[in-house]
Amino acid sequence: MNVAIVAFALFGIGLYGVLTRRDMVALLASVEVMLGGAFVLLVGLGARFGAGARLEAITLVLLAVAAAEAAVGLALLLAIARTAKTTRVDEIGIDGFAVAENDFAVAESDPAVGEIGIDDLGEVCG
Amino acid sequence: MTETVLFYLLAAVALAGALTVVLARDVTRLGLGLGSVLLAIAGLFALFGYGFLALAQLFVYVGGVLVLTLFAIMLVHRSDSGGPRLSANHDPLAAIACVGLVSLGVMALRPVFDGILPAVGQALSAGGSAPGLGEVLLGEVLVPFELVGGLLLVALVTVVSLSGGRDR
Repeated sequence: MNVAIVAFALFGIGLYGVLTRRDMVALLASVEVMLGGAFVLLVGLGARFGAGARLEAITLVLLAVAAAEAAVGLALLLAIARTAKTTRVDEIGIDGFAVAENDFAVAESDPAVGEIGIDDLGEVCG
Repeated sequence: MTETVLFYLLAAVALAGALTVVLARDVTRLGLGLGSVLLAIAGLFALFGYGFLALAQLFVYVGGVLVLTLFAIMLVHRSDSGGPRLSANHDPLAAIACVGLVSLGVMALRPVFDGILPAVGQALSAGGSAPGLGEVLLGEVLVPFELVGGLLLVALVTVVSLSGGRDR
């Protein structure tokens, strides 16, 4: 029971980090914490039922997969940070470049944009 | 008794490190918190009787992934003077969702664990140390073991080509 609480608490704390953090490094670290919780649960269950060497081998394979995932994630982080010049995920557009801060502000403050309704669409396009 | 005390100590270190990772505003403290989480998890593995797994966690995660993370921090957060500040959009709804998920999982697993710690040392008696592990790795888990080698090679090539293969 105690192992399950620790494992799920690690997972939940990491999940909260993934939901609330906006910096890519912090997001990756939070994902690592979630993975750690999953590993603790797996190994705790194995120890509880005396799974022995087979569980150890499976966990070792999973450990290598998780390490590869972390390495690729960090390389992607570096590549994106180089292109977008920022590491905050809410400042990066879908194309991988930084979103200009006043993109939406211009659209809202420009009266001409705001006043065109669906009725004027033909007029504008024509 | 000693095992119980050690377990609670390692669990406390892991949870404190996890909270540091999630809440820290300084990026260096985030790295230190991640390191303490990974070290505590390695200690838990050793406590459960999986000594080789604890060593692998130590080498792969603390020696590899943590150092990579620190390198990424140094490469990305280098311009700000006085230490970069990390922000977090704290959201009570997200906290409620996480607490709910945690309690759901704990409730679901309660009949499995039925209130006791894992029998420490049981893994060793079931052949969970290095000799048994070698037999399993080169026996029934041979195919996944070799596939992981291929995966690591692909990951290596990917990382090199992503993070600096071109001239710039």
